[in-house]
Amino acid sequence: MSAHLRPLERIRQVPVYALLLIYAVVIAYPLLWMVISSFKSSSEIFADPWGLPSIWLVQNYAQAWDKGISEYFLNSVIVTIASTAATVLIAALCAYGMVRMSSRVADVVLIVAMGGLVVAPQVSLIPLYRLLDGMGLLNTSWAMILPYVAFRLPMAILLIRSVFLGIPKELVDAATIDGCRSTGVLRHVYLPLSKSVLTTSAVLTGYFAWNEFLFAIVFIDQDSLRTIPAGLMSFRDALSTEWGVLLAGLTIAALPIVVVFIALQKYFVAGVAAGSVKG
Amino acid sequence: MKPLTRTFGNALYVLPALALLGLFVYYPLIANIVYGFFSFSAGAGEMKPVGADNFLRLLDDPIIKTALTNNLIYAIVSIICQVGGALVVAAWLTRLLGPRMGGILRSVYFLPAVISMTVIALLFTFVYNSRGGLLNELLALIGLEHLQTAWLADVDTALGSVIAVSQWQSIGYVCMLYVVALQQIPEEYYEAASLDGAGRIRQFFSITVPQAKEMIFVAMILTVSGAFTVFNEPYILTKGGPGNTTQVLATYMYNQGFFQNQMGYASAIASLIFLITLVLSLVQMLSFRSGKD
Amino acid sequence: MRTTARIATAAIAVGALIVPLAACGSSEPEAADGQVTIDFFHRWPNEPKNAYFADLVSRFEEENPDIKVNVESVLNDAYKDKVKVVAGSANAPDVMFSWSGSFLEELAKGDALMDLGPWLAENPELTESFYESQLEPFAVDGVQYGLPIGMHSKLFFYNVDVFDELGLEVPTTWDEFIDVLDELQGEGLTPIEYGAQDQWTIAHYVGTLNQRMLDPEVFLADQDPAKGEFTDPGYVEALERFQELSAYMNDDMAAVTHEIARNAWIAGEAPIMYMQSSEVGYFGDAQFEYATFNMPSVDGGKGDPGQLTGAPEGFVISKTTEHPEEAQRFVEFMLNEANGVKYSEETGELSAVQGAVDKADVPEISKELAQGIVDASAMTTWLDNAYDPQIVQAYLTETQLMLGGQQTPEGVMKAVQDAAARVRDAS
Repeated sequence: MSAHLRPLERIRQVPVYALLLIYAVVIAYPLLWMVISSFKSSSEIFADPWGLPSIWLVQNYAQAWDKGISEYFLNSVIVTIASTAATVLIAALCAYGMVRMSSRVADVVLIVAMGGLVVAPQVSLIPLYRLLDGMGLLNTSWAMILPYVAFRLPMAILLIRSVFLGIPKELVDAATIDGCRSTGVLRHVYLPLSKSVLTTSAVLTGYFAWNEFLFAIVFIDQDSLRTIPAGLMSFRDALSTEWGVLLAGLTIAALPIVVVFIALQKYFVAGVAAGSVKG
Repeated sequence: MKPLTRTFGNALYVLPALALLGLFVYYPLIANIVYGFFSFSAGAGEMKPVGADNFLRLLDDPIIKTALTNNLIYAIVSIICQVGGALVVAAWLTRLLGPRMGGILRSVYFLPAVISMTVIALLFTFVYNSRGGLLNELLALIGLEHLQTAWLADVDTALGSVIAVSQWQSIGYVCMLYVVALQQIPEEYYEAASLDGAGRIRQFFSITVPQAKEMIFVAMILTVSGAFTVFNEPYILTKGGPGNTTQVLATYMYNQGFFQNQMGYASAIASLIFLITLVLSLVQMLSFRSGKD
Repeated sequence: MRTTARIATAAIAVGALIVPLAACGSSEPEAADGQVTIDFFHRWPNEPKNAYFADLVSRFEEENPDIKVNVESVLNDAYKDKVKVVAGSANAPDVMFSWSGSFLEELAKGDALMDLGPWLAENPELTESFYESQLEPFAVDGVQYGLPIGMHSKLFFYNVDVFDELGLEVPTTWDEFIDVLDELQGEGLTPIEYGAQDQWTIAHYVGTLNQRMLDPEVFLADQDPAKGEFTDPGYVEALERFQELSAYMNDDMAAVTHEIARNAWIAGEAPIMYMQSSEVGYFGDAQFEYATFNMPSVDGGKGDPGQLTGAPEGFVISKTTEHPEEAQRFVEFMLNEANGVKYSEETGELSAVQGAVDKADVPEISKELAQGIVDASAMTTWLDNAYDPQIVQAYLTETQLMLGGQQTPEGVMKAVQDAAARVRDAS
């Protein structure tokens, strides 16, 4: 930590401080505006963009909630949790298999996993569309969960494997002597020692699943299954010029994740950083 | 343990992952190439073989050129703002501010990255609105009315406006990565340099940047591949318009496949996107490797 | 034994995927025993039609307890895309909205639609309840695929009070029109309000101007995907006229949606706007008297100078429906006279059911507009329903650029010709 600036230096850095502050305003103000304007009537939003609402239209929120935000939110939660759980579990199993097998075969698996990092999900749009159509999974939650898991596996496998590799053989031997079979060793030795990387993988996957947009709009038609990113688009269409309600909907969609972020900042940071360093 | 059982067991562990990867990540790469040789639409129609037409069309199509250029501009701006700009901001946060203030600002900057892009893009349609939108009103407030325009509808400002939204969301994210990396740099390095008479800017280039090399590399890869596969922002803000001025490869692919009944051509575009990101990733990885040695 | 454990682990991994999905639900909603569920897909998630159809569905379900109707709606452009994708497959909605014209033809040629002929033959009163001219656009090659719900025409709506104040007369020729626009502009007004952000609004202007300029035979021939060439100079001239008009429109037209423009017109900000007859339903708040005039005749134009632009909208039934009878019952209910009247009253649309608009409690002007459509000898279909989507996209995108000064009329037509060539090759 290096903020021990002498007063003279401090003054020299004032332009920098100013820039940082301005930047903070540029980031925070639109969000603040969004919340304040969500209480205004449609005409007031553009007629008086700077002021506070003349009447605080709390019913905008009730309307937004009724018009579907509650559903979109629930769907996002379900899809995110399912994708995250499945990804972490399957990646852990895979990493475990890799540390147990001969290094040549494990290397092949590793390359397959790493190769997956280079493929962007967008590239797979058309073939996945036809694949899911053929499997009859379009317009079901499967259509989002399966691709999400598949595209997040590479990173999760890499992260978890790197931790698994570091687990001392003695612990494995001790557990085996105690009568553990391979799954037992996994459960009682590897997993407990990898809590941190498992959390990191979960955070990264969850972040991706929560915000994924393209597959969510293309593979799902039914409003009742839509997640937040896709749902907000049809929400916007349905509201045409009811700007206040739209902004209320946006706020409802954004608020919970912001609250979670503020509460769990430490894990977010660790997850984001660890995930990127290993990549 | 019998070796065969062990091998079989191990295979079972990796099977689900390999199956999912094979089906959803790798198979589409090949499928794209195969589909590229056909013409068909999204409904229950038949697939007409058209030889190499779709791939040849990639070379002729003026919109592909526009899209590619836009992706390139996206990449350049993103590199400057995110790989470069975010590093400078991170350096300021870690070196010039105390842990509390630095932490608060860091969280503020990171906030947009946590919020879904759909929310941000829809919010910015308000900001950019030509009649009473925040940006135009701000310009009026500070006496710059003549700069007011329809940001998302004017061919001159549309692309810049879209790219700006991406930077708004992502600079904070990359900044967070950098802060974590920069916090690892031992204070002694800076003290030693300071004793040698190096000013802050000198310290930045001779200590901060080299020490953060790994993270810079990561940020580069993220930013560049993101710039060539970007879809959300252009799609939500302008749908590729006005005209095709904000069209990017991914939005054009989506448009061709689902709105123009040209799924074969869309597959060819997808192969193009993959090729580009593959080559760029390899180039970056190789140059980083050689840089390390 | 150990292998069993591993198999179990693999099974758990798969199970992790299945369990949450049981909670998610599938695409088929729950129906009570003995109940049939049909899917109904329309293009109005916004008001007032969203509420209208929701109400219609619940009234239908009340009268028909053995049928449950599952309603979905997506807006305009997204609708075009979604329906094209699901139509003809096993997932197709039982009852779907359809425009007449190329949209319908595409669906019909893709073998996605039920031939309504036999059903209608058994129910002649149903057939006769519609205006003949509105039924026809829903037939392809003599086979009836759809039934109309609403009639449409596109006209210039103008502020009568402003015109009277300035002593302006309704123009019938292009020169008169330009004179009127000049006068309005001279008074400091923006004469025409226009929202070009939605590309379909461009289609309406250009489509009408094309019809005015071109020889009817050429106009018709170019609608054939196998033959369309678009080389007639009339097309370029039509675009030039559009450019001429755009000088009298609001500067920020590219940034404004049709709805925002309409709200501005209703608020009295500009005296003229090109709108559909059914939009009268939105004019409740207008504080001035309004009336309509058709697109004027264009000097040098070879098309019928008085033709109306517009086409009916309606509904079709999927060929792959598992419940044809129930789907038909629903369509019949939706399009009966009582609901036709309700449709006109609650949404401002002009029901295609004979006499419905007359019986409805709607502004006099709506009845006149409906009569105008019925009396029209021929109508021009919308440009974005007259051609293959590739041609339409090139046309509208380039014209949007032209409005912004980034493209010439010749440049637009060159792009259209290229698209047409591709479409010809593929036919």
